Amino acid sequence: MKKRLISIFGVFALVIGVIVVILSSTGSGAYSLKIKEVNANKAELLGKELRVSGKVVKGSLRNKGGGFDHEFLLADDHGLDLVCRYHGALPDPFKEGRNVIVQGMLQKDGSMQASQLIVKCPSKYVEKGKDEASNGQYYDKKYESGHPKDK
Amino acid sequence: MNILGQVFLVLALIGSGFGLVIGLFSAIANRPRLVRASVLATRAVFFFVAAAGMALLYSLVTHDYSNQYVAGYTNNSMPLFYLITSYWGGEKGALMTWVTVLYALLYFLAGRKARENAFWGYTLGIANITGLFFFVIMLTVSNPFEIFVTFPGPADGAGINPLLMNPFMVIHPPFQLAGFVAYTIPFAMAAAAILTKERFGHWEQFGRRWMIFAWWSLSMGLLLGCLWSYMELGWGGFWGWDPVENAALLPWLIGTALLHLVFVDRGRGVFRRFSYFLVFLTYGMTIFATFLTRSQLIDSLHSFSMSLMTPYFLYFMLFVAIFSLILMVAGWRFLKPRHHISSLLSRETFVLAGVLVFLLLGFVVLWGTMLPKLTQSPSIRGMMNSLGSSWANVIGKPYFPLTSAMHVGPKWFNRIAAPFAFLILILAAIGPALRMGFKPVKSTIRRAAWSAGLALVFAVAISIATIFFIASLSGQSISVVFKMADAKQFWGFGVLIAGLWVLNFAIADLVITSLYIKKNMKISFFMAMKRLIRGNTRRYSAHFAHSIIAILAIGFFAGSIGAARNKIVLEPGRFVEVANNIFGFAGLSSRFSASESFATLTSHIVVMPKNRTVDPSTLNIPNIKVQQVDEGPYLLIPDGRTKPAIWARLYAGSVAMQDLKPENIDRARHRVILTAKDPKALEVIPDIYRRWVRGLQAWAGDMGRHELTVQPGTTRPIITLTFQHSDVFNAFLSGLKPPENVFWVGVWKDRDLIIMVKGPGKVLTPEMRYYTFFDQPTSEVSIDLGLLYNVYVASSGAKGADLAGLTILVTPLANFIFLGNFLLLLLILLYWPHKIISEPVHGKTLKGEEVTA
Repeated sequence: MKKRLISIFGVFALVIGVIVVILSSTGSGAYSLKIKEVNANKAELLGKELRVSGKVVKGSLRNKGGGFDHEFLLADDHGLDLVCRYHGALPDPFKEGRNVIVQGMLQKDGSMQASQLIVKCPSKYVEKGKDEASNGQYYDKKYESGHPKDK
Repeated sequence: MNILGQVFLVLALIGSGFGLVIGLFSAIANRPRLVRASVLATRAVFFFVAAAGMALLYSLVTHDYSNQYVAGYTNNSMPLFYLITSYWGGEKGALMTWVTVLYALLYFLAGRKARENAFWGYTLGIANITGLFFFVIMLTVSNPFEIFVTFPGPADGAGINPLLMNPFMVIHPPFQLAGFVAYTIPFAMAAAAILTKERFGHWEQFGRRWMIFAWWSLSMGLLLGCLWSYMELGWGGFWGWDPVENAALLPWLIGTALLHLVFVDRGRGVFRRFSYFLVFLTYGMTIFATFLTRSQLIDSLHSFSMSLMTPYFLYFMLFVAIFSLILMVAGWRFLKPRHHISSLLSRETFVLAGVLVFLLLGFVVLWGTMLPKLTQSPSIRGMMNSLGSSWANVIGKPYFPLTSAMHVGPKWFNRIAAPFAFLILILAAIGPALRMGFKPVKSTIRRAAWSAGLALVFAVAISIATIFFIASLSGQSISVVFKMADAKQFWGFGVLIAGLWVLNFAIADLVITSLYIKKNMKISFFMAMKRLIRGNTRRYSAHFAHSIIAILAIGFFAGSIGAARNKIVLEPGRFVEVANNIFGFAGLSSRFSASESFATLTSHIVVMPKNRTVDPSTLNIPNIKVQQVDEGPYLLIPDGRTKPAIWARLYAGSVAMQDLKPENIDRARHRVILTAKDPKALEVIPDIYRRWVRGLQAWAGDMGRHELTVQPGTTRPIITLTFQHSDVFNAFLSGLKPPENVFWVGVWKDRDLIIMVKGPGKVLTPEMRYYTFFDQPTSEVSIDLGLLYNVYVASSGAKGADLAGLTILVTPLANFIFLGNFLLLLLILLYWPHKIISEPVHGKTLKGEEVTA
């Protein structure tokens, strides 16, 4: 009897716990959207936490006042873009031309105030999508004119 | 060497395949003597793997860039230490490490204990499946000995990401990997035990130590990762709930649940099904974690490169899941519990509750991590929406349905994890004080209640004192720090109390019970304590282990509720107050490290407690009035223009102190030629010379008539400075050797001279490092490990300007995390040798569990 009671209670607690966890996650969190989707629904998304990924447009990174206020253009493959602002030190791997994920709130002027920048950290030296084989080709190209050792 | 390594890998593959087949065959065909063959094969594989490992090490150390791995992860300028640790620096090397550790463990396993029976046949066979899987991957898609085919290899390698060149990062992966790998052994044993119907013993009997080792190693790995994140990443936190971190946490959570179940069960078979299930789940989670880390399934901060081995892991994971499921179903009836929990107020009940909390926390982490992927599916979104809207109806709030994929961040994780941490700590405090299997005797309850009560009083008192300390540290009022309406502060405070309760409970339990024994047996207090600990090793080991976790929890949560943070851009000579400390930015300097080939922009920061003053007499310059600047760590010489000689002397000193040195002094023509102190630094960061020129120009402009010419060169710009007046020139020359107590000199409000004096406060020097072989700068933080709080400064300097962007963080009790990590390192010593812990006890209860009752 006691054993059954414990099992029933345990399973009950687990189920309740799981439901609470799922419920709490529905209310809080950031919507992962594409730039296209953001641009199409700017009015609705105002003030909501968003997560948008794209490429930092080359030459678009501005640094206001030489400090922590940064502004850049985030673009997707279709040429659509979104103005992003960020206050703080840029993460080390952040660079123009890199793929980044920007998380933050959409502002009234249609720009995004980022609270977090996530850069695909080339934790290993191989760039995204490049496997070791194509990395080999990179070396081939780099030393196209002949390997230094051969000379 | 690469061919040799390759050959050894193939031999290892064959050996593990042989060990696998012969092991399983011996068990299935009932030929127990064949187990020897499997043992031999398995041990042979260790030697093959070790030989292959040596070959890889040799290639790494000798810069054999014809090897793609060596070319991809090392370079000529890396010191030997990092060359060696590159062994586990990349994916291929991690695989190599994985099999090295696996077969080192299997070598010991197969040697000492292996007997000629079906259990060991199955165990070795199944353990070799994992080995075989890795060898197949290494020989097909991720070969550490792969060479360049079209050309002999580059002259220099690409080098490792400098972020990984940190002592914590160097030892983090081996611990983490060993933790993952070691769970293979309990898994193989559990499978073998079910297949042999426990005729030759159950898995806990032989696998217990491996499980302890795996847990310990994994814990160390996670903690070292936390310390790395704090010391290296420059955001000042220990844990960011990043998918990669979460992936590593999952096996730890399930493994912790498993560990407790096994400890409390002691082979009596109360939780048989549950513990078998958890062994399979833990092992599955280690594979899942590797899969998640390598697959880029979820966008992550430190997502590794897209790996070709992802599908292999997916299939292997499926295989493990199905295999475990079949075993569980097949063994379900056989694994009926032998005993049941007899009392609700026993250690078992509390452990069971704790296990449920850990499983639930595991679900939290899994759900939160996978959410971006899961919510891509409209049907899962639909399910969540219907659940959410029906709950919203109940509480009468509006509900916004999910229309796109969603991502939950640290905010959500922290909010959910805090109550869990609280609950776990409460259970961890009480659990060890309870008895196994039995309801406690009245006198025990009384004593335990005393311990608990006393401990709680102390815990609350210390917590309140801590809150006051945090409030005074951050200069806020108590009501701000102690905002109970704020869920974060509320639970943070709860965890603080609970953590302190665990610590105090352990002490109170020891002291009060010892006093009781002292009274009853009429022996000295220390004799009583000694006897008590000897007779109740498990109880006090558990108290100790839980205290470590409590220390860690206190460290993490005190930081999360009390850390003061400021991000600010400063010019030299300006200061900022954070958490009762003054942070003065003195200026930037550059240097080049030849051993690791990077140039730095170093920010010099003086940190001083707010109400400390600088003694003007420390600046021993006659005939001038010196005063302190507001609350900064500076002294001021009012209106310096009136005394150009002193100006010249001090300021020239500061310029020379930084990055320039006089190369040629022409006394007759009042001319000095200056060059870079460290030309290599200039080569890497060419912009810095603009800063020197600007500094000199500003200063010389104040000194009167002069001529400044600059010949910019990429390696050696030559700056010529000619003075018209000899007194300024002479003052300049005498200033090249600055007064000893002067740290830095600058101009204050365009008028006065400001001098930073050495002595009061500490100097922190965060750096930006520009590696010659790496195309992005990395920041090197500077931390003052104070006893009660850590001061942490990260800087991002602007190459050509004098500005520094500072991230300043004052974290209370952060050293608890370092302390906890150190104690955890020792914990294995406590749990490893004890026979009474490692040997399972049959029968319902253990005698002598509590000598006093």
